[in-house]
Amino acid sequence: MDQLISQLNFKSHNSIIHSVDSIGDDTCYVLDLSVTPNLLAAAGSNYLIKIYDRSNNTILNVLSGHKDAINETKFIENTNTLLSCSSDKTVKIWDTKTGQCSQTINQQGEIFSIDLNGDILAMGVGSMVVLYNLSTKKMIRKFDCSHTEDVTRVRFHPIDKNKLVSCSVDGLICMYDLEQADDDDAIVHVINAEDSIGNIGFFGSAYQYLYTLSHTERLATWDLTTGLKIKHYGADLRSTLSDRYKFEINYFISCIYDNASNQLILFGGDFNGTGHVFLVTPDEVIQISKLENVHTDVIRNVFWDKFKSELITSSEDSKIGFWTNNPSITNILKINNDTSSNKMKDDKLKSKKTSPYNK
Amino acid sequence: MSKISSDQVRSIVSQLFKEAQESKRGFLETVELQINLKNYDTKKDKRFSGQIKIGTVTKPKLSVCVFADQQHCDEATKIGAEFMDIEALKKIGPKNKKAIKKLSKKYDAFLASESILRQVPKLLGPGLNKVGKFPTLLTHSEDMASKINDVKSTVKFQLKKVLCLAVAVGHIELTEREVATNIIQSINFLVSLLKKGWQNIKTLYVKTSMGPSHRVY
Repeated sequence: MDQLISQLNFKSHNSIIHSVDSIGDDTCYVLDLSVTPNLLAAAGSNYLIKIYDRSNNTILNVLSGHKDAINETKFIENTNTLLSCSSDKTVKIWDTKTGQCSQTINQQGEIFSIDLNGDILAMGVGSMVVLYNLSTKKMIRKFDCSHTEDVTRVRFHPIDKNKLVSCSVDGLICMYDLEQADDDDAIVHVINAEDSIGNIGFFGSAYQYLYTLSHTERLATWDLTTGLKIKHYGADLRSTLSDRYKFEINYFISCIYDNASNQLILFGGDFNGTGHVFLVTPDEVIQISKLENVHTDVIRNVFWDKFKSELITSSEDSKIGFWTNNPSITNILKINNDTSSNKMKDDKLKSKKTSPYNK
Repeated sequence: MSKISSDQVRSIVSQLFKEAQESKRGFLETVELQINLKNYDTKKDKRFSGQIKIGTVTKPKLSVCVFADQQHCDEATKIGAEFMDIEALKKIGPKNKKAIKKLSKKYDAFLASESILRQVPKLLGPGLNKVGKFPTLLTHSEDMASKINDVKSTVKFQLKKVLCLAVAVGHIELTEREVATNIIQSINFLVSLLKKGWQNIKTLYVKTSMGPSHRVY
């Protein structure tokens, strides 16, 4: 436990500006982040995905093709292939080495979330959950009556890959057993979270639990074996925490499960860009550390690479932040900050000169 | 922090009520809060949707049915709530789409005891999901009557592609004070979800179903 707490004591060691082609207030948000041991893919609100080399944070490729907001990106495990889904009703498959889009999967609705299990791609398409086989390039099945509103997340169970969980703006969380051939029978659990759900994730020693974060910034935990609620952390967790710790919490980002210590870690933040790290215990939420002095706007994503003891954050201020809990690294990596952003300036700006960060 | 005073809201509400009294309608008029946002990009800013539980019952006519275990059957009989036990649900059967549809149309919302809630997908299939009426959990530690009231006093809001949304915050048979409280409570909650707070609010209006709208902000 103490070890975990010291691991979570992150200090900023570097940050890069993802995009400088912002005009006035129209900052390019970094909307999603995907990481492999060597690569980092960041999707901007300018519909472009940039691929960075993690060893020196330089840009390897810019993936362009989406015509609307990119909602989620995902690397196929152990490959350089990236999948991205967008409100332009497509999933695109990219070779990040060449920057080429190798396949576009067209759907009937906006695609808010994707997840992968081998060749099987799960997509949240509008209010439907669609399964697609990447090798045969055919749709396998779809669930069109489990939700009434947009499906915000689809996730395969980390161990039992035949189980799929989806959550939606309608407040329901559905768990499917994909071994069941009949669509009605395949829905094994339905949880009514009574709030519009924005983010979910598995946790627990056998990943038997689920956490949910709502669009109204509420946290709850659920037992997937029974489909019952374990704990709801209160209708106004934000103000409870703000009052207790005397700093502002405006939103929650996501949770990360640490299986070494069997702990669930919650990330939150304020509108000015300070991030906060919390531990979620069965009874309450405890503050651990802060992520300070990098971001100036809402933090949208966090990724923790435990192996490299690095935490990566992305924000609406167009920055990607790199944090470490290893003090010896802190000063070495202060390189490339300017070169990378200058390079992008050349890439993207050519003649246009704006300086949105000189506030 | 608040940009509107409760006095201001109260005086608008009393005017709303006066107007509603003057031209009575054949139904119970709802009081609606309408919000126009600015500096907000639906393409990149965070989604803005959810539910608010407000202090008073806003939907008195909402019909609620409880899928009840033995203990809840007794409680429902005592307070006169409508309920169905597990046998009644089994009788319908998951393949009887017509009967499930009929049931889902008959009531506006459902509650279910823990042991039954788990079986609802098996017992009734996705029929209730499809119409957005999947039951809410009712535990034995909760009071059934107050849980039913909770359902009746929960309002939903959702921002789609356009920058305006509306929330039903009450009706004209509540007291003026109750409606004013609901309005302020809802506004404050919505503003707390916005990145730029009040700077994201362009205008706020309240109106009754048939009456003219009044600008609050």
